[in-house]
Parts: sequence; C-alpha cells; structure tokens
Amino acid sequence: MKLLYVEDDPAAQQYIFKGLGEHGFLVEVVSDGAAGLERGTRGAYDLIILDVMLPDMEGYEVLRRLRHAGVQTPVLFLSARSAVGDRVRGLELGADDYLPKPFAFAELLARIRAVARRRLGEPEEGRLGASDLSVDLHRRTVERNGRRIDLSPKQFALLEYLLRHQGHVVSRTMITENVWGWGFESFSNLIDVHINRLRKKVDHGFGRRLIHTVKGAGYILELRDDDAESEAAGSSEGAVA
Amino acid sequence: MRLRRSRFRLSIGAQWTLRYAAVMLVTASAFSAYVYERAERSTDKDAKTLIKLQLAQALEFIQAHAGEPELWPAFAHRQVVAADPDLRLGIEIFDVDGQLVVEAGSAHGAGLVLPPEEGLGELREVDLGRNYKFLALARRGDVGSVQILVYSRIFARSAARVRDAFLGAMPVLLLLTAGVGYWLSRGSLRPISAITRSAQRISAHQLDESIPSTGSGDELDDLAMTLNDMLSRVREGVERMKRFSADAAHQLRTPLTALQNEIEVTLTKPRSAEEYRRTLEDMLVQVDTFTETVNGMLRLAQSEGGLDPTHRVAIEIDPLLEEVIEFFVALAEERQVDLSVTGRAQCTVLGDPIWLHQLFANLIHNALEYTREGGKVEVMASPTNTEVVVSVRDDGAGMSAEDRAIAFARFQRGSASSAGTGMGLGLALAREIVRAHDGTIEIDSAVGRGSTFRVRLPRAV
Repeated sequence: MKLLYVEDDPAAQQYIFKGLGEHGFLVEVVSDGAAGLERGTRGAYDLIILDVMLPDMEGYEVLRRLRHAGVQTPVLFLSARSAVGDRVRGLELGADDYLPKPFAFAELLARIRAVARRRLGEPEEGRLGASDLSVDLHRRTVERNGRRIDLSPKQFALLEYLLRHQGHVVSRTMITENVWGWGFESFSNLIDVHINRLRKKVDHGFGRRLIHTVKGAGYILELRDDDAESEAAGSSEGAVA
Repeated sequence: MRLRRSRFRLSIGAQWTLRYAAVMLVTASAFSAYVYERAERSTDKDAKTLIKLQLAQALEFIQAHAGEPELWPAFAHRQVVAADPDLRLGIEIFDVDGQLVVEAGSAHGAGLVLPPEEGLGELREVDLGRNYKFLALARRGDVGSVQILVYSRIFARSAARVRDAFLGAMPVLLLLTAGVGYWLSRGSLRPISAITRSAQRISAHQLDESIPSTGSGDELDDLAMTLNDMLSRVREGVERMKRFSADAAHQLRTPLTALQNEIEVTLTKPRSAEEYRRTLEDMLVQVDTFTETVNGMLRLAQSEGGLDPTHRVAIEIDPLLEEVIEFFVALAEERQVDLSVTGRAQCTVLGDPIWLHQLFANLIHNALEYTREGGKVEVMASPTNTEVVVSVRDDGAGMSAEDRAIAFARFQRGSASSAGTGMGLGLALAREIVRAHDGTIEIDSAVGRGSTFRVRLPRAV
C-alpha cells in the first residue's frame, strides 16, 4: 500500500515514516502543502495523510484543491486541533477520517487500514457474518450456530462495526466515535466493559471466540485456528497488527 | 500602542460648532431676505395707492379750476404737506402745451415722463441710484397734465436698515451660535473623552479598568456599558487562558519530572532488552495519562469559551438520557451498581448534543465512581414550565460542606473515589457545559447520605 504523507515536523516525519515502513507501507514524505498537492495530483496513492497545519497552506486547502482537481484518493487528517468544529470541517471537505494529536501509533495504523477498506465498499447485501455468526442488517437479528442472540441496539451497532472491520484492529476511540458519537470520546476506556458484555452474548458458550483484545491497540473480530474458548485467560493477546 | 490619526482632523466638537454656525447663517439670511421682500412689496403697494389717489384728486382739481390756474400751486403744496411724510410726495402740473406750471414737493429733477397721448401713462420707476427710486405716474387731461411722483423714502431707509442690522449682527450672531454649538457638543461629548482616556489605560495586563458610566441611560451611557460588558468578557477570556496555562504547568510538571528521571536512571547503565522494554511500556502508560490530561483540559477550555450558536439545536432530553445511561449500564453492572432512570422530561432544550451527552455522561460516571458495590445510582428527569430538571443521585459516601465547596474546581478528586480514573476535570467540565447552556447545577449532599447533582436547563420554546 502506497501512502503520501504531508507533514512539516521533522520528528513526526521520521517516526511515522519508520513506523509505517516497518508495517509494510510504502511511504513518501513531503514537507509542505504545495509539494503535497503536486505529488497528490500526479502520483497514484492508496491514501494521503495530511497534517492540518502546514507552513504554506492549511491541510484543508490542500484537500479542497485535490478534490477540485478530481483526485479521489482517500485522505486522513492529522491535527493538533481537536475541537469538534475542526473535525467536522475536515470531514465535510471530503476527508475520510480525522485523527487529533497526540495519538497512539496503533490508532493511526488501525485508521489507515479502516480508511483503505472503506473504499472497497459494502461487501454483501444486508448480511454480515464470520464463521458461524451471522447478522441480518435489515431485520437486525443476530444468530450464531443457528441460535438467536438478543442484543441491545448499541450492542448490535458495536457488533456490526466489528464485523465490518473483521480481521482488522479497531481502536477504542474508533469504536467510541462510530458507535456512540463524540459526546463519549473521553470515556473510550469504558469500551472494554461494553466489549465484555458483547462477548458474553456472542462468544460465551459457542466454543470458539471471535472477539479478541489486541493489547495497546484495541479489538479485532476474527476466527483464529488455535484459539479455543478459555474463560480463565480472559484475553489472548495478539501482537500489534 | 496609540492609534494612528489623520493629520487634518476636526474634533466632533469643532464639526458641530461649524455646523451650528452654518445653519444659523442660512436661517438668518433666508429670514432677512423674506423680510426684505415683504417690506419692499408692501411699500410699493402703499406708494401706488397714494399715486393713483393723488393723481385723481389733482386732475379733478385742475378740471374744476380750469380757468383759475393761480389756484393750482397752493393746491399742490397743500396736498404735499398733507400727505404721509414718510412717502415723500411730488406733484407736477403741466399746461396743455406741456409746460411745467406747478412744481410741489421733492420732485426735482425727475423730468417729465408724461404719456405721449391723452390718458393714463405707465407707472414708471426712476432709479436714482443708492437704492433710492421714484415711482412716477402721469395723466394727460383736457386742461393740463399731472404727474405724481413718490420718493419712496421709508422703503429705502428700512431696506438699508434691515441690511445694515443684518450685516452688523451677523458676526456677533455667528460667534454666539458657534459658542452655543461648542458648549452643547462639549457637554454631550465629554463622556466620549472619558471613554477614550480609560480605553487608553486598558491593556492586556491591566484589564481591571472599566469605562465610567454616567448612569444617564442615553446612547453614550449605553456605549459605556456595552464596552464594559465586552471588557468583562475579554477579562474572563484572559483569565481562562491564564488558568489554562497555570493548570497545564502544574498538572504536567510532576509527571514530566517522573518521566525525565525514569529515562535518566534507565540510561545510567546498560540494561537488558527486557528491562528497556518494561521501562518503555511504563513510559507509554505515563504518556497516555498526559494525553488524557491535556485532552481533558482542552475540552474544558473549549466549553468555557461558550457555546457555538451554530451548534445549537433542539434536543429531546429523554432519548439523550437513555443513550447516556445505556452507555454506563455495562459499567454499572460490572460494579454491581443499580443504575436506573425514573420520570420523563418530555421536552426539548436548545443546545449542543455532543456537550449535553458529555454533561450527563460526566455526572453519571462521577456518581458510579463514588458508589460502593451493591449501591444505587438514580437518574431523575422532570419538566417544569420553563425548565427541565435532571438529577443524578447516588447513595455513596456523600460529601461534607468542604467537599461540596470545591466539588466543581478543576483537578479536584474526592477522597472516596473508587476507581481513581480521570483527572478531576469531569465536574468542572459539567459545570461549564451547564453554564454554556444558560442552566444551573447544584449539589445536595451530606456525609453518609449520598449525593444528588441537580441540573436545570431552560426548555426550548
């Protein structure tokens, strides 16, 4: 996956370049908006990461001109500005995500992958599933191994979000933002409690666990071959994806 | 910093003075012209009436005494003496050949302006220069001709008098009106000078100064009060900034020192990879705490700035509360606390949904933090005519009067906090959000009796 990273801070340039490179991304770094615009318009990237505060122009402006020039490459904003208004502005301009600084590197990774996936579109018509779990989005019903599972609306939304990103790590803040909204962002550490409740309904008593904790990063829904249900262990830690 | 001012400027006082004087000049001129015109007309009218009358009388006399021309001069002189002395009269009588036979009054040098044929001539005006004139009318009769002249003395004199009076009084009048204008403008503009002087004393460091208000309730008093309102908002803003910087410094210094020392100690000698790893993990946890603190402070700072009016929408309280409670039910169950909602608000408030979620989330989270296992947290909503009242009641340890006094202060954490999460910004933020929504928040609590946080928000109309 090829990324363009527009950032003027040398320290950030260095560790993001290093970190993303170690995770198998091909990263090109430029230091100002004009260069970002020029590369972004000419080159073929899977994702453009834009810092909002650039020396020559705001990241918002770069995005506006890119979209004006017909470039539809997904854009992820990074910004030290965290006010809701700033995020809304970025998203309204057509950005795919907005990550306020400071952020955990695992968070950035998870969001890059989520943005890239979102571009692939809806996988199926009205149904999501993993292994023997199946979710009907229209009737809003959940079944596992032929057995009906009753979920509250928010639990359903949480499961749907995990399923849409199955096989990929989603962070606690991603879950908070997407399932509960921004009014709860300061309570993202409480997402663990919600995941545990969902696990009790979805994983408990079905032999194989689907929802896994990824230490320091968040959660992942996937079927693991070597992972039999084990209540005592509580969470089997996978490496940072 | 002083304002740049244009070099050629007239103070408002001077502008008003000039305007007063100009208005006075125009008014006085117009009035004089009107008086002048009216005086001239009426004088002319009097003169013409007199002329026609005298002409008729004189002609009648000479007709009646056609054979006695020796009587004519006496008659003429009598007429002149009897006439209005203000309208100096002249009578000239000519014989049939056009020879002047009688000349009475001050008609000297007027010359004969007899009509060429029998009958009434035209009324003539004979300009004598220096604003004096004759009005002359003549008529030929069978036995002789008569010409009457009126030397319009009163008109000439009064016209000159008016003009002289006007010109003479004008400088005094102008000075007087200018003086009055200056006095009036000075009086009404004095508060502005006071405002200017206080504004010059005000700076970012010296915001205590306020603009003097006269209490008269006029426009300038309004201006002074408006500026004072603005100043107090600026003052609050600066206070917030100062507080934010101070908080940031205090709250981050200690953990920063710990972090620095940990790094220094780790670097003093070579260590195993496992040790480095543990140190780094440790540091990461501390940095996470920093981030949480900074984010909390930013959130607080943003809420203190007031509510962005563009984010104000009508929000139904009941579904919002249910959503927040739904979020915390999981935590409550884990802690074995009974979290329930009673009553319904059944109304809407105007506000920012994100902040209102945050408000009730903070209150419920706070209540859960201070409630023991097996305890109870109850959220109650009810409407009044003008407000919606939402109470969050816990049956935890309760608060002493001292605890209550500082409950909303930043970085305050009660001693009974169970989990110890958060930086003690939750209630401070809650209070700011309530303020931004024009509401009130109060605590009803006593040691051993639990605590109730009661929020009142104005209902949307």
